[in-house]
Amino acid sequence: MKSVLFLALLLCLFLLLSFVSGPATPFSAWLNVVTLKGGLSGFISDHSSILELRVVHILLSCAVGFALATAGRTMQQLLQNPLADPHVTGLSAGSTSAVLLTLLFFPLLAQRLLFGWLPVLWVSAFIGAAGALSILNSLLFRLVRVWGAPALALAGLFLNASFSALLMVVFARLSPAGLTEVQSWTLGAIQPYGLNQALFLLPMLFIPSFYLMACERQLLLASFGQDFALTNGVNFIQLRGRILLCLMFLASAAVCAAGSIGFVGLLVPHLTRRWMLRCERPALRPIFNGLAGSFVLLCADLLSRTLTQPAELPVGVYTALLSFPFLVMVLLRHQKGAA
Amino acid sequence: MFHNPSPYILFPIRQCGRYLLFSACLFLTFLPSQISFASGLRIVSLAPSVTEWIYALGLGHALVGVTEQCDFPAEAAKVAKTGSFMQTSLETVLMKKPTHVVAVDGIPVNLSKRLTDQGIRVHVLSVRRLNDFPEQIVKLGEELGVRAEASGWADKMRKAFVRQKTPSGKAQERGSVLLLISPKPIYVASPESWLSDLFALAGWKNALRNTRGTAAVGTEFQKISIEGALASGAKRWVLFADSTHADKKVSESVAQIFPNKKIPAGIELVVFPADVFTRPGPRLLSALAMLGEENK
Amino acid sequence: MNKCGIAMDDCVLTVSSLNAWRSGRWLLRDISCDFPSGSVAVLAGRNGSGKTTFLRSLASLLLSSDGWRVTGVVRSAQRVAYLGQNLPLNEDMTVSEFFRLTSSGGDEWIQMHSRFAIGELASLQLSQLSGGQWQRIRLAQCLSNPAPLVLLDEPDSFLDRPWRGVLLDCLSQRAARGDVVVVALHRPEEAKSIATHWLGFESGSLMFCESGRDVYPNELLGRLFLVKRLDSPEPVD
Repeated sequence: MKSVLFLALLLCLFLLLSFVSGPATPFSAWLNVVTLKGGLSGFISDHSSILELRVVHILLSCAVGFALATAGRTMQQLLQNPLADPHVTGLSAGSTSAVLLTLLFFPLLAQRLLFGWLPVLWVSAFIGAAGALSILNSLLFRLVRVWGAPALALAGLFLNASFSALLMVVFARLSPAGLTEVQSWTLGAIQPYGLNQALFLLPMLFIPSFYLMACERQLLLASFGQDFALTNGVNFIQLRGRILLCLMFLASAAVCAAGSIGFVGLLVPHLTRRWMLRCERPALRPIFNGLAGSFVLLCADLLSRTLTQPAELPVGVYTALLSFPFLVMVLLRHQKGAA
Repeated sequence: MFHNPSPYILFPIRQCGRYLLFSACLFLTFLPSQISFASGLRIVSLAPSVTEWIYALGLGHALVGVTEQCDFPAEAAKVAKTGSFMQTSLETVLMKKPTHVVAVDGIPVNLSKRLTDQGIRVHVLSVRRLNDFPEQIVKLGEELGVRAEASGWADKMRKAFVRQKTPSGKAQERGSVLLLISPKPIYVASPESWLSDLFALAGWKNALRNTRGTAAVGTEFQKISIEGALASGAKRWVLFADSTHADKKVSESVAQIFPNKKIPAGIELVVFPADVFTRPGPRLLSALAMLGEENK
Repeated sequence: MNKCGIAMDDCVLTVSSLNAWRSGRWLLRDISCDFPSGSVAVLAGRNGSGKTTFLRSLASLLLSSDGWRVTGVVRSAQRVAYLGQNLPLNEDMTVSEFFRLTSSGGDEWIQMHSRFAIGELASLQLSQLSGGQWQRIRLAQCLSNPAPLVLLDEPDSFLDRPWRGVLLDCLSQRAARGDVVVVALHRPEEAKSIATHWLGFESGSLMFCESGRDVYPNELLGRLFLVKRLDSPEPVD
């Protein structure tokens, strides 16, 4: 309980830090606001569009971090595989490819559809995620059953490589200028949406996450294997179906919001694991995990917005950079655990 | 005074005509600057070539944001930066409160939609071939309210974009050429690009054959292998490099791409300034002049 | 009447002409047997002879979505206490959390808790347990389930002798209560005292089904295992 509160506090601190920092609002501007020199209303009306942009940006990065961490943890439990995560398994890649193909073939829809644009993107993302998952389910999970945990990473590698090759070929042939767009989606950049679009995306990210959190007990039983779950009253097949559906929702919404961001879903559950052992209440574990995901993505986002000012690199670049020290931490801990 | 309708009646009709003529002249003289000041035009440019065009159209004073790569004309470097060429920070763009954002092909769809939703006009300058330029510049001029300037440039370009003639009146034929954008990896201008068109005007034919079905379709610049470069049979290789580089150093860098680290005897290497030639900006005309001078 | 000599209606568990097929081969062929309430059936057979498949089919764990094709009739209780082999370890849990997750509590659980001495393990993490400790925990979890049908797949592996004794005690206690216990044992000869049925499997078929207390099919088991002296307290393995 204490740790969750501590993390929530830290998250709030970073939310505030993230909100006040940016090229448009230097420290002096905030100082003026605090000391009531410039007048608050004047400041707000001056910066309204920027503040809206920033609020949406921060909300989306928190929600995406939360969703990715939850999705990663759930997949790791369901598949009993420490390497499972929407990005590693190619779920995000499938979704991203579908979104990019929609952007390529129906660019005019973006101008025509004022409010329907994002749902169109989301539907294509969902179709892409469903496609990737059905390939995984029909071919590659069978491979995993034979070869064990590393095969999942191999299967994901194969899917990721095929999807990115498809994108490269299609875009190089049809729209070479669009390769910038490809880069921004495949590396994972938080998309510049307005408040209306965020209000569409946030429930899409949070509702499936909460559902997955509610399945915690069944998932824990399932983590001891199918037979164990079945004989302890969990309808394993149904549970798996529902969870895969949720994962598709999560992956497609996360991709719509921010392209395919890697490492958050993979590493955050491993990072939070040690703490979780100390946690008395099992119900708090998924919440802690989700909050930690938000925190990591928020940090990466803060870096991406401030480090290379005024240029803004995709946030996925920084999650990859941040993941390295975390990976070392996890490895060292495993070593210590073994010794 | 305005309550009284009499001034209209009292005004002599002949004097009125003269006065109108005078004020129209005055208005036309200051038209471009007046419009931009009066309408509060604020432009953010998302590409170096766009920045050059905006200065060429006389709207340099209205530029409120450029990219980190914008270095021409010299004043452009003093304008606030809103990101690098491909990595724009939306927040910095919005901070400048622009009325217009001008970009080139490839601006992400969501970015342009978001800007449009904020009530900012987004204009995309889209040029593939040399003949696209006049039309695109006129469109840009119309968008920014400087039609006269733009059509002036368009006319200038149309006049300049004619095949150069030999003294005897025949069209120039000078042989085949390979246009190296970067030596390592080898990126070249494809035959279906404005850069190749530019060289074609001076009589230089792009040595690459454009076959449909390769990645060259619609690609301005394409990556080829050293084998492909040699197989093109070009006797003259043109390298676009920063003008600050000494020639010797540049030719050394090109030599690195050959198997024995030496430029083969039959190949002549020529260096042109990269920023003048490879940016689809107004300095294309000076590039064309450079080519003409070199021919003489 | 059937070959066990008991009326059908009295049988808590009835299996008739059970077949199971997966990935191109039959893992069970034409198995029929019945067990009245209070019986302890011991399954014997070499590795891969179909014991585990038989137990899983009784617990209806052979799902068609995993590629199983099962024909025949199994009539058994709705609730089943099942102990499988090779349970994957979720290493994030402590022992007490594992029990909180799986057991509903109750008298059974308190009894099992003390019989298998779980108290001394309660604060350990699952990843820190030895094979035998983990097996005790699984057994306590499984046997605290008051279902009328108890299916155990090699519950005696990893256990040393005293704990094996405790296990057999618990099983006979269950049988005395009227539950049916079906158990595949690593050392079947140790169950001589409590077994009421002996089932011998070979390559998916039922070789023999002997019933009756104090009937120890020494010869038949010898045929199955090709081991000469089965009477010895520790088998040669």
